[in-house]
Formats: sequence, C-alpha cells, structure tokens
Amino acid sequence: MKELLEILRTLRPDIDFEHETALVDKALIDSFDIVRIVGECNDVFDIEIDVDDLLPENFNSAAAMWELIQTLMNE
Amino acid sequence: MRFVSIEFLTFLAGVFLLYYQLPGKFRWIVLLIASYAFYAVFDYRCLLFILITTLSTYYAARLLGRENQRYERLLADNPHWKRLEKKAAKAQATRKKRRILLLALLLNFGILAVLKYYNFFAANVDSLLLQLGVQPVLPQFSLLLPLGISFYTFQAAGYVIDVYRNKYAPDGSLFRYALFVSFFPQLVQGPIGRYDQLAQQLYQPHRFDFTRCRYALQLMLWGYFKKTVIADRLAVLVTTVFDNYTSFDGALLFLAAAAYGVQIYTDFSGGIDIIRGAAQYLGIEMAENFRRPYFACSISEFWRRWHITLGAWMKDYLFYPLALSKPLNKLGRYLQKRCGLWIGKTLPTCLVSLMVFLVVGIWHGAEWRYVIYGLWNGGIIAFSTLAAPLYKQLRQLFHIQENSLPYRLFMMLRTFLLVTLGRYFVRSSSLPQAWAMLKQSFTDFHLSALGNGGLLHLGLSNRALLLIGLCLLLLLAVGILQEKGYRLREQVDKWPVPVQFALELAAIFSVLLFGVYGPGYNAADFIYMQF
Repeated sequence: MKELLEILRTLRPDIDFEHETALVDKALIDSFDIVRIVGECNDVFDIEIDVDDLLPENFNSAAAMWELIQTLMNE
Repeated sequence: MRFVSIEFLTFLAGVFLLYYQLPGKFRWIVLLIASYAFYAVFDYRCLLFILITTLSTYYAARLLGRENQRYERLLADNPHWKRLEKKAAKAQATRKKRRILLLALLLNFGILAVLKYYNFFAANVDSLLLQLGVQPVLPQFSLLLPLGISFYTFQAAGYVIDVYRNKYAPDGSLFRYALFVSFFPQLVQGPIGRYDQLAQQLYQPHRFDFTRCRYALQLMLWGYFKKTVIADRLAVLVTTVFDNYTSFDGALLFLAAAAYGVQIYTDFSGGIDIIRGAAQYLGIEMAENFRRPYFACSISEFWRRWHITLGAWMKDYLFYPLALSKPLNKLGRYLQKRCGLWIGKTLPTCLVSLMVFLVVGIWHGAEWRYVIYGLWNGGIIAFSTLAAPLYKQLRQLFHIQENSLPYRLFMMLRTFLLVTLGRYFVRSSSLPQAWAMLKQSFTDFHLSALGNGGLLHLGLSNRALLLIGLCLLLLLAVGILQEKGYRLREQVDKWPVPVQFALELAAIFSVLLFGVYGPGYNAADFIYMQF
C-alpha cells in the first residue's frame, strides 16, 4: 500500500489519497490520471490492469486500487 | 430495401407477426432468417463477406475460449503454484491467444481494408510514383463494398477481443452467433452492439407487450419525422450550395455547412431511432447512439454524445490499449522528468487521441478529407487538453463560473462552430473543394447575404424554410426537456388514451404530409449507409 500511495502522491501531489473515497465520482482524477496510475502500477507491481478493470469503483480510493492490485497479483 | 419505404414496413410487420406467432424457442430463428433475407435483398453477393466474418470470428472466439479454459484448468490443477509459475503459464496462454486474435483481426480488417481502402491506397501510390517520374503500377478495381461492413466488422471484432480478454465465454452456437452479427435493423448503419448487452436479448423469446410496442411506434415515428421532414428537406439546401459553392457568399457557405450538421444529425439519429424502434417491436433494446450532441460544451463531450457506440468501441479497443501500452507509459515517464507532471500526464494521451481520431476519420471513408476531419477533431481535443490549465486561469481571471448558463451557452456555440468547420471536409466532394469553401467562408463573409432574399436562392421555398425552422424549434424543445431529465414517452403515457392516440395520428400525418415525398421521388439514402 505504501508503494501505491507513493505513486499516487508523485502523480497528483494535490490530492489526499489516504482519506479520499470518491476520486472518480468527484472528478478529482480524470482518465489521464488513471492511464498514468495504471501504467505506473503495471510496472511497479508487475501486473496487467486490463481495460475491463478501468471501472470507477476500482479507482475511487487508494484502498480500492490496492484491492485490485492485490487481486491481480494473486491471479 | 430502404428503411423509408413501404417494403421495409411490410417486411417488419411480417417479421413481427411471425415472431409472436411461433413458439418461443423458434423466435430467434425467425430473426436470423429475416436478417439474412434483408441482407440478400440489398445485394446477395454481400452475403459471402458477412458469412466469412461470422465464421472466422465465431471459430476464433471458440479457440480463444478453449485457451482460456485450459489456462483456468491448469491453475485449478496446480493450486501450489507460486506467482512466477502462474505468470509463466499465463504468458504462454497469452502468446497462443494473441496469435489467434491477430489472425482473426487481420482477416476481417484485411477484408475491410481491401474493399474500402485499396483504391485510395493505389491512387495515392500511383500519384506519388508519377511525381517521381515512374509509371503507375497499381491498377484501380471496381470493388464491391458490402452494406454495413464497417459496422458488423467492428461489432464482430469487439466480440473476439472480449473473448480474448476473457470477459465472457464464447457463444456455443454458430447460428445464434450469426444472428448477433447480422441482426437486420443494425445492418445498415449500426449501432455497433456489444455481445454482452445484445446477444442474450436476441436469443430470448420475448412476449408481446402493448406498451413497449407503442413506445416502439413513437420512436420510429420520431425517427421518420427527423429523417423525412428535416434531413431530406435540408439536403436540398445543402446540395444546392455545396454543388455550386463558387456562386455563394461565404456567409451562405457557412450556413450550408451548419445546415449539413443538422441534416447529418437528423438523418443519422433519425435512422437510429427507426432501427431502435423496429428492434423494440421485437422486444430488443439496442444501444443508444446519440445523446443530443449539439448540447455538448466541448469537442470531446460532443464525441461522447455523437455516434456513441463507435466512440465507445474506439475507447475500449483502441484508445485504452494504446494509452496503457508500455511505450506510451515510458514516454509519459520521460516527459514527466523533462517537462513536468502535466506534460508527462497529458501529452502521451493526447498523441493517442490524435491516433484514435485519425482512425475515426478513416473509418468514415477512404479519402483525404476524412483523414483531415479525423485530425481536426483529434487536434482540437489534444489542444484543449494541453491548454486546460490556461483556460482555468482565464476563467479565474475573468471570474467566470464554469457551470453558469451563459458560459455553458458560449461553450455550446463554440463547440457547434468547431464541429461545423469540420463538416466542410465531410460534405465536400474533395479536399480541394473543402479548402476552397473554407477560404471563401472567411474571406468573402457578408452577413448581409443572409438577408435580402439570399436564403430563397438555396433551393427551398419560403414555406419549406419556415417549416424547417419550426421543426428545429420542436427538436430544440424536446432536446432541452430530455437534457432536464424528462422521460417524454413515459410522460406521454400518462396522458388520456384519446390524446395519445391523437398525438400518434398527428405524428403519422405530419410525416406523410411534410415528409419529402412525391411522384418520382425516393427518400434519400441514409448518409451513414455509405460509411
């Protein structure tokens, strides 16, 4: 989780990722951010986040993103 | 068999009667036979191409499904496997699957490329060779372009890619899958359906529902109204100006381009309403393809409201795979280090947008004017994205509220102007004509040309212009209500039955009376049929 928060803070230092739970719903992050977040996560965690995983519920919070990463790491 | 014809309505009535008369398990077979009959009536030679696409994508998906299952069995049989072992097995399965997918896509997009783009490619290669002093080498052929090939190829390709991604299992029945590819309402101009949203609806037997059939009638009438009363009438004005553009003032050229924007919208969305209405009669809900695009405040929003199913296809199967690819991620990281976070984040995605819109442009046809049309849209989106911080600063400087009505109206008007400039390329018969018309619009623009009876020289009578004006007001009013969330058909449903009946009769008569018909006149083909 620490690594993920580091990635998120690097890409969007203006957002409180530890507490925000509606990142997509409140339009705090856009599709450009998601593309960069996915690119970084794919590289750092050696996973492949698929197009079908690009759902708002998977990116609304750091916890949701971490859950997705964990699922893909265990696949 | 045109949608605007007695033949089509008779055909639909026949399918409707047969569908609800036969036992449930045979109903999808009625749809399959009707779909192939519909296609054969257009041109029986085209059946070969839709059959190739159906067979190749069906068997490719079956092979992909088998690989997905094999991989899942492997994981189940080896619960002790560590992550590295799982990854190795997955990589092996992916390599196999990728080969199958590539073959299927190459074959299907190859057919599309040859039939639709070969002559364009050959003409450009030959013209280049001529300029270099070499004799042309590539001959031109008179190639058959099957009806709706761009639509059904994309629909079938989407299905194979979804199975490759293991989004769902492949269809187990060739004939049922053949119906998904060929369902007759969508054959002419889409919408591009998704297997997981459409296929089950096609196979399930639907029961007759009076309310649904009334909704279907209303939707079809609305479509016929848009097509025959507005689009086909505006076509006269647009053709008059575009075919003789040197005789008109720049202001009238711009008016014609704007009118073409309305024509193509009422033509395409009218056609889609007819298609969706026809499917609703059979209990099938097809994807929405338009959401009042001229209410968009930006070009990117316009494309989320216009030809939605093509945009969604491009997003899922082209934009994201490219944007999430390793080279683009590397480029993003490189730019982030060199030029900062904003450029690192936006520039690679803007490049992808530009590529996607290039494909969208080419999808419309094999001509340079479509290439420019795609780049025009993609370029504006890329520029707007990169300039977003500047726009934000300007709004703050002038104390403009982003969601205020005046600003939104300004943005809608700006978007409409930008879209209209792009229309010059779509409607002109060649790229030089589009440039010449654009130049004339800017260098010879006199608002006075719109007065002094100038509008009466555009091929339409005073009465016809007045009728178009009134119809556009109606279209605008309906659009505003829908934007505000009113579900009009459900509201109408609450009215007393005689009033509803009178309204439907009025709609039928307005289409019959005001539609562009008459002796010796055929309703114009749908514009998107040629794409």
